[in-house]
Amino acid sequence: MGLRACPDGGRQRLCSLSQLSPELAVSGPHVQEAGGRLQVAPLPLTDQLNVTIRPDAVRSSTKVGTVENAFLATEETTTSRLLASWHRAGISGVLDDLASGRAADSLPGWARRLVALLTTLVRLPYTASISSPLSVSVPGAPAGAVVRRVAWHPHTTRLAVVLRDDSIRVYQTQAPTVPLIKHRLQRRVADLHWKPHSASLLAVACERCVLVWTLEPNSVITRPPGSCAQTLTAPGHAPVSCVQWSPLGDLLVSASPGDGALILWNVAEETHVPLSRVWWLGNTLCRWSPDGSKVLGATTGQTFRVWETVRWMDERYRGPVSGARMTLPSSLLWTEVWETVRWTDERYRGPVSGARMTPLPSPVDRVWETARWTDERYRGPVSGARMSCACWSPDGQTALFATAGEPVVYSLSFVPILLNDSAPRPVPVIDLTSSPPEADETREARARREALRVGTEIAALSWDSTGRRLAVSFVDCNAVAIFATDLHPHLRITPCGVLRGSVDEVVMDITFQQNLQDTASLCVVSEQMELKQCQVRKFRSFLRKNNEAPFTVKKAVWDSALNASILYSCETWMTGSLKPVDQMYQHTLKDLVGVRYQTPSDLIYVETGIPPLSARVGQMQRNFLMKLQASTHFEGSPVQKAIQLARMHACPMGQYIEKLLGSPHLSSPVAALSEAWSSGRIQQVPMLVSATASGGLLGGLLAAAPAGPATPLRPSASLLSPSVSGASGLASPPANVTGSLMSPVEQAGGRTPGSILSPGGVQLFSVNDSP
Amino acid sequence: MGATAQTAIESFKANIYNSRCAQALLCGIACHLAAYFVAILPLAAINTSFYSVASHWWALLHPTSWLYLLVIVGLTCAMGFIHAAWYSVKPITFSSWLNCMAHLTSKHILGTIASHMVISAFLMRSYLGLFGSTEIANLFVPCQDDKNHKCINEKHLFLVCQAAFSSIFASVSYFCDNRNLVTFPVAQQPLSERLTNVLKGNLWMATMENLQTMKWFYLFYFLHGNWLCGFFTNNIDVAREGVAVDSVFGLLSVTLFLNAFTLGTLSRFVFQMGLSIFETFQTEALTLEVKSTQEAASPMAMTAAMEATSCPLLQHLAFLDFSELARRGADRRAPAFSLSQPGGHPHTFNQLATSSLGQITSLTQRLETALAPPSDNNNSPPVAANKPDFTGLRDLTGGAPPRPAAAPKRSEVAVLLDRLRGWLERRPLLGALLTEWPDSRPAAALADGRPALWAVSGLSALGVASLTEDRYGVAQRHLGPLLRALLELAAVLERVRRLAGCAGRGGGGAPVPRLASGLRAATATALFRLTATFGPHLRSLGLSDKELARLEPYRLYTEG
Repeated sequence: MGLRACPDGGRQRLCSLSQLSPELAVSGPHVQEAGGRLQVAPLPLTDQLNVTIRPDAVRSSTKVGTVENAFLATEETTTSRLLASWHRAGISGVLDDLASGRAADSLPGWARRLVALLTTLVRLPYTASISSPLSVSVPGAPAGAVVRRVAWHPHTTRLAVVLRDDSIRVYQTQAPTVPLIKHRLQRRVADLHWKPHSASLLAVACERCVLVWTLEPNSVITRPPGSCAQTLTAPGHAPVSCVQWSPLGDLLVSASPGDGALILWNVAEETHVPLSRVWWLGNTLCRWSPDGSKVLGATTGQTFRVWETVRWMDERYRGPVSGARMTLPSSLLWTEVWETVRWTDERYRGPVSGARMTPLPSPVDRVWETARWTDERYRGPVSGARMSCACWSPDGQTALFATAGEPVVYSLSFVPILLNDSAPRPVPVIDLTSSPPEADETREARARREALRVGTEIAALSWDSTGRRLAVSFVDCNAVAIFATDLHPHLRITPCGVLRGSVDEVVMDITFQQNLQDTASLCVVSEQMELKQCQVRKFRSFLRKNNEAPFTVKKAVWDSALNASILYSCETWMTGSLKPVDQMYQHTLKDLVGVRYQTPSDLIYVETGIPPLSARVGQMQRNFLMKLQASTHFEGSPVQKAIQLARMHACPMGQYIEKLLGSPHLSSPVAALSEAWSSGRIQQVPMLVSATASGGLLGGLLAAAPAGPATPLRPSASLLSPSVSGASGLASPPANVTGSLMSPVEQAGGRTPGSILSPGGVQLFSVNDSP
Repeated sequence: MGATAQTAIESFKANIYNSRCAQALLCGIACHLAAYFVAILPLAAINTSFYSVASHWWALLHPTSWLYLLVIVGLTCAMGFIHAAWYSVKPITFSSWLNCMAHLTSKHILGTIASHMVISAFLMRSYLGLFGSTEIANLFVPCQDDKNHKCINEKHLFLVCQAAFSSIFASVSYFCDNRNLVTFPVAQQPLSERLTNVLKGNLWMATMENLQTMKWFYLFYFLHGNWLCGFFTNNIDVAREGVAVDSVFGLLSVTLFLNAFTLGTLSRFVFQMGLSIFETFQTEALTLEVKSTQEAASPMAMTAAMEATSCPLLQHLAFLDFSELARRGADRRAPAFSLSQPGGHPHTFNQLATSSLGQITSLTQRLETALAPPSDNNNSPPVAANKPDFTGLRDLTGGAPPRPAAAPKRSEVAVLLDRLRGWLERRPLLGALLTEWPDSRPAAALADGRPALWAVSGLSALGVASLTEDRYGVAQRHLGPLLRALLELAAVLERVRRLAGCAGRGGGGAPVPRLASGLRAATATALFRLTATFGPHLRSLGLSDKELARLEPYRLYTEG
């Protein structure tokens, strides 16, 4: 192949980070490379975009979440439910509903098996993508990440940023405004790409379509209207996971895990053609080579394909017809496969004599299902692993790619080599596997190993336009490995350093700025997280991986692992603001229950029986102070003196301590709820009731709310007893309501009815599913 | 058009066009028979049972079946010949409803519609005969009361009439909705893949259109079925018996509906697939020799084919190949930058640039003429609009392209007629028929703008490639005129866009707005590429200050 991985390692040795010295693992906001070594830059570069996005300025996407879990289930006919599923998610939604919904219980066994089979068949292309977190979403991007994707304009310093709420902001040097792009079809944005040789066209891969925005560079409009977007849809081509313009800018190619074909669009004329369809696999990735001569498409399976773009030839299975045979010995099936080599020139002229069979070296197992140069199919090097990311060299002759589940970069070179008539084949070139700790490891060796440690799965590859630098980022990791590359006379890769962020950072995306000619500027998008936010991420990861765990287990983890961390030393916070922690507390609580963040927190407190953070922290602080006062060393201590002074002068801290020590025990959620009522925070509930579906519990809160008209509730959903419904005289909560709330989820392990009891055990109202 | 172009056309027809037509015909026949044999299964299920499918297949060995098969093959050939005569590479545009009606009522088109009706009716008769079911196979069947007398089989009559009726809709759509337009594909894929791609869409379209026309035919037969049956019973000694099909109960027959749906869909599908097969074969890209007409070894050189105005298909294929030079490697482009010997003249590039610039400037002039106020139009040569140009007919007759007519001298009668027309246009109903659509003239001018689109992309690609591949500087002389022509074209296209109110978006389903959108995109891309490539040297290209100022936003990527 004419490929040399490392200059000193020869052809057989892979390039790895172990050759680096630990000093080359640098961190800092601005890092520069000089003499092949990374070092911290003293000043930021000139002509640099300064992009700051406040996390609280971005709402979570309301389209992704569902509000169903926030409310009690209502009685609904099977037909209406299936119709709703059809409108929401099409045939797959209906099948899902039949397979897992309440209708499944009423189905006979054979019908359930048939539905399961149909579901499998319909969702077959999605199977691989759903089982992997890389699927349609952004590789390595956690759900709560503020920035999910960035795209540089190929000719100007213009940056499009996809935010968590699926909106896109476009930043530009010396631009008066930052356009904010939203569209009703712009959901679950997975990719975006600027059109080459154009100033204004941006293609966005969305859940149901491809949107092509026309964004005038000199426009002062901050919110381009929907008429500026062109919608491209093809039957069955959804969700779209990747879009790429051709280097000439005349064609656009898009990939979807739900469609076996890549779609080639003529955007201007709104026409499209599918490229050779594979019925049982979807497509996740497409990359156009910079010279426009090839397109690489990765499927949800192990296979990936490379098209040549002159004739878009599809000659995959012509081996037996043309005389070249592919033999698969039974012992070697799927583990070591033989390749059929046949060399033809660019235009197909039929079989060329000299076809021969060559075994591929073990242990790399790959299938070479090719009969000719064009539109070849390759099987990934690892069984069961699919291509996760790829990039082309600037000359379009070499593609680098990585597969899911292993930190190895492969190369596929299309450089014709004299006296070598074999077709191109993937060759591992970079091994980023971290070395395991040794038994007698010294402290220096451990520090060196830790400094060069990177992730276990590659998230993105980016090659700069000069072909001299390659950046590799990892899933759930704060490191970016930088390599120096040389394309001529053949590919050489040398480790350059590791760019490491702070501990609480996760690299989301990497991309080289494309409009630089002689230099390169790597843009690393990382999610800045406080240390406490890391715990939130861990907890969300736990929830994702243990979705089926019982609620009590999840709550125990939430209490013991998360709260212990985010409320660490909260006894000393006193008058400090609880807002940052409260947001984490509320969000993780809603993650725990499985509702969206817009659900009123009071509902969740009542539903789960968990007190609000203010009550919880107040109780802990009160306990702390009581314990402190009871200790023998308290009298005469500086702390006692400080507290006494504060209470005497009635400063805010003193008032707070006074209130804290004088307040009753607030451990129960109903007490906290009572406090919330008295403070009037519960007034927001009626408005939300009117905006969403109704439920019995909501109705109860509505009746108890101090203000707001009683929103009419659906008879089938509102299960208040008439006596309670008529008790609208409860303008304020009874002062003596200190009874306990039986947590519904604790009662039955699901969203089942709950009740609020009065002190004497008299049921004020009940909430039940059944009338 | 010179002699070399005429030679190229003859060579094209002899070596390529006829061969592709024959291949398309064979493929069409195979597709037709395959579709019928697939449709036998639902037909058998509708009429008898699955058990009888084997007997139907067995019946194919009977000589009568061979005859029907021959008839089907012959009718397929007839449809192919009709399409080969009426296909066009230029979309049809109309200036008003009256113009559309006048177009449809011309004798040639009426004759073709009648031919379609006859072919469809005979095709349906052959389907029924080949299928062999006793219930619907024959027009005359023995009467149930008296076996010696014959009665008319109304279901058979219904199905045959439905095929003829449906063909009227298909023909009107063929001539007015640009179904005869040969469109060039987005990507040059293999033939089998292109045919596979259109299969599903054609089946869906045939099904939907058949259902649409069936409802009208049911109404028609309910009203006039008695007259149709009466025609046979009055003129031939046959009788009617049983439930009349033109009654409510007769029309509610499920078997009849399923037969009409299946066979009607099959007929429509075969018609649509025929068009797609012809288009697929004829739009396969050619790889032409990039040499000047003096040097080319092949009579069908690119330079000669680009001048073949009397054979638009060849001209389109030549410009398509020219635009593909951008995608090909430097080896394919090298002859364009070479010098002719003896003398060392850049004949090849000159001829390519002249042909391409001619297309661009010609389109610009036509658009400017179309956008000019009507008062100026009276003295200017009329745009070759509103007159459909059927490529196939021209190919058959070998006629020269229509020359722009000289400006007629307006007589008093013409002035009076104009006044009369103006008065009629102000009438409520007549006005809707007579009023000219506001964007009809630019649309007519744009209709044959496809070669200009390819010329823009091809010439700009050669211009960009000349920076590294043009060793003799043969392309430099044409860069200034090219940029000037592109600026003018961009300006006039912007005026067209504003007139059409497209607001920067690709047009809907009509081919002309799509073409306009494609032209705008190609022109903008070409300007961006050329200005980015030759940015520092633009002042050396002989452009005026005003033109340089218009190019500046493209160079800085601030043009939207």
